[in-house]
Amino acid sequence: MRLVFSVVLFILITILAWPVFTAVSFAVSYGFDILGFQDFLNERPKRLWLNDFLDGWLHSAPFSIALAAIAVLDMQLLTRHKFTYLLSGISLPIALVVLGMVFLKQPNLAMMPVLAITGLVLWIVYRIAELISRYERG
Amino acid sequence: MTHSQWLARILREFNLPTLTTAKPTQLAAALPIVLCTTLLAVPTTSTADEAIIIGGGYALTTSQGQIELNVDYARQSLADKGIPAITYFTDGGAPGRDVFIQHEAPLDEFYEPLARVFGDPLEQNREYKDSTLDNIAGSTKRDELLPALQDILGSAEEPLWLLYNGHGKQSFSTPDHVTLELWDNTQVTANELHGELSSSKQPIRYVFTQCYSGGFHALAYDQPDRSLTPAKPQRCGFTAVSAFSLAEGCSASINTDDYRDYTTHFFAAASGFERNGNIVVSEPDTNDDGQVSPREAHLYTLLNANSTDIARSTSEDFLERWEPWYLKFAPGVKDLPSNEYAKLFRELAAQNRIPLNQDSVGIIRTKLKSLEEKRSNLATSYTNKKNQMKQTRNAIAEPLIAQWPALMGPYTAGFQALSTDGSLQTIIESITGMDEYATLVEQQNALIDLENEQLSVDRNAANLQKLLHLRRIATLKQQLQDYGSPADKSSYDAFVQCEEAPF
Repeated sequence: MRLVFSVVLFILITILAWPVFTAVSFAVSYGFDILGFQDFLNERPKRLWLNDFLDGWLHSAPFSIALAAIAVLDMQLLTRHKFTYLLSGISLPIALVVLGMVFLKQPNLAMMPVLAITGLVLWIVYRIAELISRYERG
Repeated sequence: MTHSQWLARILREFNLPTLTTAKPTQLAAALPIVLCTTLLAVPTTSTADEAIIIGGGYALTTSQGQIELNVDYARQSLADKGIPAITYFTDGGAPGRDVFIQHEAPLDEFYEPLARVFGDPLEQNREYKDSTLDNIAGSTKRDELLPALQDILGSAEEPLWLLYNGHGKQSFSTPDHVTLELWDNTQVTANELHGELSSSKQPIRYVFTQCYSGGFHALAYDQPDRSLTPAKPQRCGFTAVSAFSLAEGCSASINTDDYRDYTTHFFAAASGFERNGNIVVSEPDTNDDGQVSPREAHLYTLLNANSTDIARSTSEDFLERWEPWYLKFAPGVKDLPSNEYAKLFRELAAQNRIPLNQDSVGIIRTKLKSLEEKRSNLATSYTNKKNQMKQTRNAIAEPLIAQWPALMGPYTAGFQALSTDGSLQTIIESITGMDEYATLVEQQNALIDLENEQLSVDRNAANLQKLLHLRRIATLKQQLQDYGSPADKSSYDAFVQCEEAPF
């Protein structure tokens, strides 16, 4: 059962990482009056935006897979004890913040909060999936 | 720099808007300097020796008078810079009408009531004529134009300018399949033109002002679709809009104040004078080297053109093409980077009364939303008023048709008989005698006013959208420095140098 949950978690994080990132990016740029892709949606046909989104999904796959692997490792290590269970999933926002610190070259880019929030949203996904798995196991 | 540019600069220094509006004392003060500088100024040699201008509509009904005037203006501006132009225009100077002009008032007021009730009222203001452009090298028909282009490109020994002033159509596949709509309903796609230009051994710079013209930036790359490698020899240029937008500037009016075409502003900046003879509103020579480069003329146009166009240069198109997947959906930067596009953003924001603070983007969004609502209300109002106008028109037409059924068939012998037996005169008198006719005139004029109001709202919205675009390009330019590969940076620099090379 734990193995099945690991596989499900891996697939969930791999699939959701990029859509969550774009959704958070949209929300942050809209909420904080920062220029974002939504300001140019009318400048190009929707099909080209969809192509770009799918292209981003494909290109981000190595990062998403790495993140999913971290999530599975996190689950395996931290959900076994009551104390560490409270912190399980924390590696997701941490990993994304570290990713930003390594790759981002512009200090004022609003990407850091976007990455951190993306990690938090994925953490929530992780915890929901984990709760469902716990419920299934009784 | 030409003498006229020197003169323009000196007049600007003395704050003289035009020679005609200057006070005598101002002229007296400026005159010695004007004379000395004009005598001393030595016009610089142009780097481009030849230009190819292709212009006109694809049929008589799409060959607006403004296109003809734009071609003439561009040709004159280039001639002032010592660049002779080979012009291809509509039917190539063949006898017959190939241009139409939309006058402010009907050409023959007698038939106006008939046109208002049974036809298109604006048709009465239209004059069809043969083009008055001289020295036309040939037609723009595809089968005639492409071989002629091949001859010029194959034998050219100096850099070339390629200018197009006409119509274009959208591509529903890739942007490099947008078209030039040529005479006799023929077409050439950007992809095909890319193939034609490959025979040239000379660098080529271009200006395309038609709808969806941005697709023609494909000419600047070695492969027309999605490539980032510049073509060899170098090609670069300027387009009025992106590959996905309609362009303004297809008005048939010959009123100079109606000109909002990209060429108008571009060549005004290059020459120092607006088409109506006024000196340009701001200094296009931003680097103070004494001459206006095509890139400076483009940046001037971005700042000063109050139209629905959001123009693009090849280097700007390159930045948009280059933008990597991980930045495309990421939020931009809160602070403006330091470059020429950020400077333009600031100046345009000031023109549009947008405060330059952390909330600028939010304020622009709010204003855009409000304009969208206004536009939507105007569209609803237009539809309602048009329906009302149709009802009034029917109320006038129905009794007339009952009495003279031949009115239903304007291209029949019965209609011809109405004209010859004097019934048409009686019909026109009946129309003007009806109470509803005054209402119809009022409603049709109100529709024209609404169209103008919609255009005004569209221009305001385009200015705001242009601000967001400039901010994006400013950010992209900075991001290219931060994330771009050396090859990408080198390609970008090559495009900028190509745009900056003097006329």
